[in-house]
Amino acid sequence: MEGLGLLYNGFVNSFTLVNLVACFAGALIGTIVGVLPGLGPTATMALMLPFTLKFGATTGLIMMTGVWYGAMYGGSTTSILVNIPGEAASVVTCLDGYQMCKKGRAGAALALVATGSFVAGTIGILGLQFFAPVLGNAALSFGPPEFLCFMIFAFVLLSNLSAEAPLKGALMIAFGLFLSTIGINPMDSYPRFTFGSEKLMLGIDFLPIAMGLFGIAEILSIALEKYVKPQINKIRFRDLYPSREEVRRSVYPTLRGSILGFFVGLLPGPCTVISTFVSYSLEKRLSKNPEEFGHGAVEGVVGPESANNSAVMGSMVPLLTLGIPFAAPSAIMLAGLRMHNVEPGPMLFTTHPDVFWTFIAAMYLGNIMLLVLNLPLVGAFAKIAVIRPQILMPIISLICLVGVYSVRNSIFDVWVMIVAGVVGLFLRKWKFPIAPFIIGVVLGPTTENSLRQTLMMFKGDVSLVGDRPVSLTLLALAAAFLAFKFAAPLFGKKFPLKIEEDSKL
Amino acid sequence: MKRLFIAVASVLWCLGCFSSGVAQAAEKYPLKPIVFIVSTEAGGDGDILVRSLMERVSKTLGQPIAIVNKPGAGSSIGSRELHAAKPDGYTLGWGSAPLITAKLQGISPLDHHDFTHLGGYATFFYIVISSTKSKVQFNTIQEVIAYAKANPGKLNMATAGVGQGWWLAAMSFLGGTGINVNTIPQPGTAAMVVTQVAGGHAELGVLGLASAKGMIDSGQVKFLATGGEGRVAAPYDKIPTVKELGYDASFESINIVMGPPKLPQEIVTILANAIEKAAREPEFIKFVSERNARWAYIPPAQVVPVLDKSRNTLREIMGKAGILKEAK
Amino acid sequence: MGKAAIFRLATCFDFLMLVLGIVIAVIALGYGFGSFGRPGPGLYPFFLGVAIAVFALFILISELRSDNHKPILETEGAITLILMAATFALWIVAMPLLGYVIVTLLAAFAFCKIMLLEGWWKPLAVSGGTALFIYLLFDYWLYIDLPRGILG
Repeated sequence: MEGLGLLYNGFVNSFTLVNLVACFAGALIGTIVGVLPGLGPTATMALMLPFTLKFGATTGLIMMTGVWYGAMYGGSTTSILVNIPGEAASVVTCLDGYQMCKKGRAGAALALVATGSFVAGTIGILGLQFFAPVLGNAALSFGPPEFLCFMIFAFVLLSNLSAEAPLKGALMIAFGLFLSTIGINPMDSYPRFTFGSEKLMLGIDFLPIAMGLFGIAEILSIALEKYVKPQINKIRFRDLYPSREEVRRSVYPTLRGSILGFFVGLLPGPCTVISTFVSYSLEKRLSKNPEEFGHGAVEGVVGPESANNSAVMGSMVPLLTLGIPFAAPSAIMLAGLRMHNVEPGPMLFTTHPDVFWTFIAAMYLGNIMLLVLNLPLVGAFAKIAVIRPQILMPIISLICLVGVYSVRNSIFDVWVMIVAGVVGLFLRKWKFPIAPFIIGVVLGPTTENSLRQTLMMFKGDVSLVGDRPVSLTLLALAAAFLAFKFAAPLFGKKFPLKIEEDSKL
Repeated sequence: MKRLFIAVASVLWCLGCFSSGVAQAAEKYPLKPIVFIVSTEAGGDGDILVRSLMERVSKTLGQPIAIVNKPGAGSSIGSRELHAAKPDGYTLGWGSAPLITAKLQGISPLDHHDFTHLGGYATFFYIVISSTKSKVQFNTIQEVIAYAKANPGKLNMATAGVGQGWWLAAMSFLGGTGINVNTIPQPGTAAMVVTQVAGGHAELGVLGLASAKGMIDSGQVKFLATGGEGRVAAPYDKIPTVKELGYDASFESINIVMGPPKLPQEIVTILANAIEKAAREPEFIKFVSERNARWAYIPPAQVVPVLDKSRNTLREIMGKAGILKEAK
Repeated sequence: MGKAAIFRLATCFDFLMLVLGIVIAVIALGYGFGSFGRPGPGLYPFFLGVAIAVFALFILISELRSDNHKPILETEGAITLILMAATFALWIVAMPLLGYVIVTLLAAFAFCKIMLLEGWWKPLAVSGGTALFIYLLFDYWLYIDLPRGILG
């Protein structure tokens, strides 16, 4: 196969010292950035762009993808250990990962996440390697109506995250969607709900909200609990690594998450974040014990974390095959490539095929590097979980404060985080599910833009959607899910009707 | 008494250090990295060019220049931030056509008169593309105009977000040709526009050549016309300009470097010289034409008059398009 | 605590959301609803506002009907919460003025004490260590521009 020959060339190219160092450096920096709350991969990549310009286009691309990739690895660390999402795509990992940590399974969670990310990354790279051109064209056929239908489908799919309290969940989604409209609308530059405030015109950033609702709320919640010295003071070796049962349960979610994440990565917008939610929701539906989700179900940890790693690779497909950056980090990479006069897009395979193949080869290597880097650290990180909250929480609080400030140099963001934290505490007490709120904030912009553009395209005539097979398929899927949900009780399936006392959703 | 003496002496000593520090700072500017605000997305046409320029400038100045992208609201978010920054030479920014029109549109109270200018370096022009996947397809721009005149409001045209440079370009095109199409603004600048047209979701699109090049070369979209003053270099020299076809629909966006108002003169001189030197480097000139823009260095003193002239043209275009709203 | 509990925070919150929803819908209409063929900026927020109001109304009704009025916070908890929130708020307010080092030191110390860490040495160590760690990480290594306040 011609492809394999080119791939071999790619491996040869990537084994240059420069490329290997770039890959490792990127992955390392990315992991650290992912662990740190606040600083995200996009900002880091933007800062690194001038450095990478000194090297070639391929090296730069390798380094920056390494950062993005590493951030997906690292982000889950703080999510699991202290319920603080290191960056946006790790929010979902907080739900069950932190619960696993509280049960003493932190090491297991971290190890499974690292391996899952490795598997997902490999599958993602394979997908990129073999299916890139085909998928690129498929991505093009997704227009505003298809996105709108996908949003509808996503909302239906994700509705099971609030199955215990559907009304409250619906309110949360609506409120989250509303928050995302505050600011200047990107389509028509119209300021909404800003009341003249310059700060509000920039919109409310998602990360401070997520950190507040999860991290700060948890800190406040712990402060309110009476501290009980845990029974287990020493970390046993067994706790560091997953049990056979946990490994067995992780296999399918990892695979599902990898494939799902790759396809979600093809979409525009915050694809990595969306992939985690979709994966979590899917795992919850497929699980034989959905009640366990929110209390430390290992499927709810490895599925999303695998998904966000392969979503990075999925996101590279439109970038490399169409030259279109669908996610913010992709835009930075596009800038890097164009600075070297490498124009990604359909002509990339003709003009600069070596860029593509060297990149793929380097990603395989990078993936292995990250696994080797992260697995031994699992033990060290797991020890952090045992530190007394009186010591750990103040440290974490300050890191969050500074971290959030550092993203946009914005005091407003810090206020948002604190307010979200206090509100989040009360929301938990009043049994409002928080995940739907985050979904609303994340999916808001894409939903509104798709809706408006679809209406404009159809000039108000919604029946025109009948001309579009992809949209119809998505709508049919959504309808099928809804029907199943309402029809299932008729077939004897039980649904939890009461909210658990300490459900973290 | 002794304490008072010590207090006064230390205050004077501090003032001395402080003022000598200030004098030193002015002499040895720049002493620390410079932040450069680009009010458009990373990877876009304007962004790439200014990154290349600033890379050269940073070599001359000896300090890194950190480029920060703050897109949104027709570039007004980035412009506002630049305007509010301290005029100490450590925050600079990028400007282009939307800088002029944001005020005319009522999106922002600022325009090019509110900044210190450091020079212009390139001009971007727009192109019109058409889809090869939509139900109705076109091979020449005349076909487009004829069809649109016969079927007003039927064609879908993807444009950049309202207030953005390429959206202004689209308005110029529509105003100059007098056709009525269904404009669908996309969030952002050019990336989504070419996606919509390539995917067949919109029949037409208006954007910059650089973003559409990959799609044009691979045949996914058709390059129908250019909105610049002259034709594009080979291999696109067969494509007509709207001007030569008789339509007053040309639109060009001049890219400039600027700083907050009241920037001290010494700093302005240092920066303007560095920028001129960088812009005149043969490699940069080559890069500009490779990115399908037109190289055009404008010294700082002439930036405002040139932009004023541009503003008159834009005012007309916007008036015709019905979006003229002087800012409050 | 009988019926009075029903007028506790939870119900107030639901009522607040109801009012918020209505306010959002009204403001959205002011932004221009447009038509379905040419949606204006206000179309989407209007529907969101209506949705929020409707959901809030149903939740409010079900809340008023329910019998569950266990207070969610005892007094001691409320005090802790207020202290924690106040420390966070003070950090935010004082940071640009005094610089992040001092404020971080004080805040970390305060957090330790609020969370009932024993003695004085441990909190000092924690706050000192945290401030140093943050300095090294954010300021020295990552070059992030943090306000130095009076430390210049």
